[in-house]
Amino acid sequence: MSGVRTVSCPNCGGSLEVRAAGYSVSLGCRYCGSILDVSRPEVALIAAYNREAATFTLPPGVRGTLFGTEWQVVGALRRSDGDGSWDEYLLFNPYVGYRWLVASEGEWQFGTILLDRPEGDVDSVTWRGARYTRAMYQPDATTETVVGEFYWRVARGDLARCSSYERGDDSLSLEESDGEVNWTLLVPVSAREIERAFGLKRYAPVNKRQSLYVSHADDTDDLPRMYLIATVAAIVALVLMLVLAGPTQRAVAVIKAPFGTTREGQLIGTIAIARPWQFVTIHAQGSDFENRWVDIDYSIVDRATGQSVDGYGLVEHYSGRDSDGTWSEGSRATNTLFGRLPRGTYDIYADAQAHAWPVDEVPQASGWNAPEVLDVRVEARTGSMPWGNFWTLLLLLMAVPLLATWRRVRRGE
Amino acid sequence: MSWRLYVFILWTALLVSGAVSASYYAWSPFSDEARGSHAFYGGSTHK
Repeated sequence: MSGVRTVSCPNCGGSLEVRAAGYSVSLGCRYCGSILDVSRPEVALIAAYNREAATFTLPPGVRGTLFGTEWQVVGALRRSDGDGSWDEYLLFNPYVGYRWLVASEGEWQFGTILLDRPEGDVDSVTWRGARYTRAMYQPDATTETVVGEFYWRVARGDLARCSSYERGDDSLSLEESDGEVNWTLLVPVSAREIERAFGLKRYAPVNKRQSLYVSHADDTDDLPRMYLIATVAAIVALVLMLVLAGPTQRAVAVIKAPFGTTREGQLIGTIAIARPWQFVTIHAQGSDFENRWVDIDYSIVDRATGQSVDGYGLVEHYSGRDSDGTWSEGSRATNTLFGRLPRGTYDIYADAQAHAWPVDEVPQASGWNAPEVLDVRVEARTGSMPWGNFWTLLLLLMAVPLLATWRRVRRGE
Repeated sequence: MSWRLYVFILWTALLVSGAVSASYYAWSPFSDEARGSHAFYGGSTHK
């Protein structure tokens, strides 16, 4: 590299090299963190701030070869959009000029400043025959930290209005500040390539934030893909779960639920579990009762071992009238899901007892002085689909893209 | 393809394989067979 000039920091007296002498206007002092104006013969102090804030992956002075050209990092900026920050590195080669590297969340882009402006409108622009579409995310970028030297006067707090236009992985970035308009072509570079080029042993980006140029563009690209992947995965899982749930066998009976006593051991029927493991659902449907409930205790008894798996069902319905008008609650139908039933033949029994509300008395059937009995239709079925599992899966699948969408909406994109 | 998409694909594969395995073994956190019998309070909860 050539064109190196040595200046003294007016703040601390430190000796500094201006690597792109004649091009650079601003220079950050490596000793005290002051920002110097090196465009004047007498180097002027622009501002001083804590240099400790300047912790960049590629500190100024680092050299590397990218795209066949040796570059030196002469400046580094940390910028933010109010919600997150990213790093921008100014590269310099005396024969080629300036280029940019933009880094965020482990992703990098190589930027070339355009000399010929793209043409178009707000929604899309055309540059060298290629059409670029406007990205949704259009932030204002504020400069947070400055290290090194730059070809324009740069200061902490500088605000630029940014727009991005995309074409595949490439994008055109438009920055407007102080009446100046700059276009930059950004192309992705892999982190490994950056590691190789600058001799980094292990790439560890300082900022784990969305990049202005990279990640928001990726957000735009990968969100529909995420929804698509989630939908396809849910459909595939549903089909597999339905296949694994079968085959189906049924046993149906109407059981009697007397008031005041439990009628035990009412046989619903016999079912066979054909797969190594299957779910069984028992559906109970009460008759047209009111202000009554029926407790049902199920026993699924393995004929081979005599062991039973127990469960509970409840059918109930209440209604009345109060100061708010009529009300009702409860359901005369209920499902009870049994899991982890191994292959075998099972007898299904039910114990049932009916109750009355609000006073748990024993209603008498008219005429015969016999206790009232409620009929409940009970159907046991193998091959049940565990819908709770599926809805949980769907929720967890969609949570990620929904969260990403919510974050984008919150940022006002 | 972004790293986020890779992570999401891994997450999706994990969830689907978990759901399919649960179906094969007929396991569900929502099954009722573990519920204690005869534990019902009884009656309407209205007001």
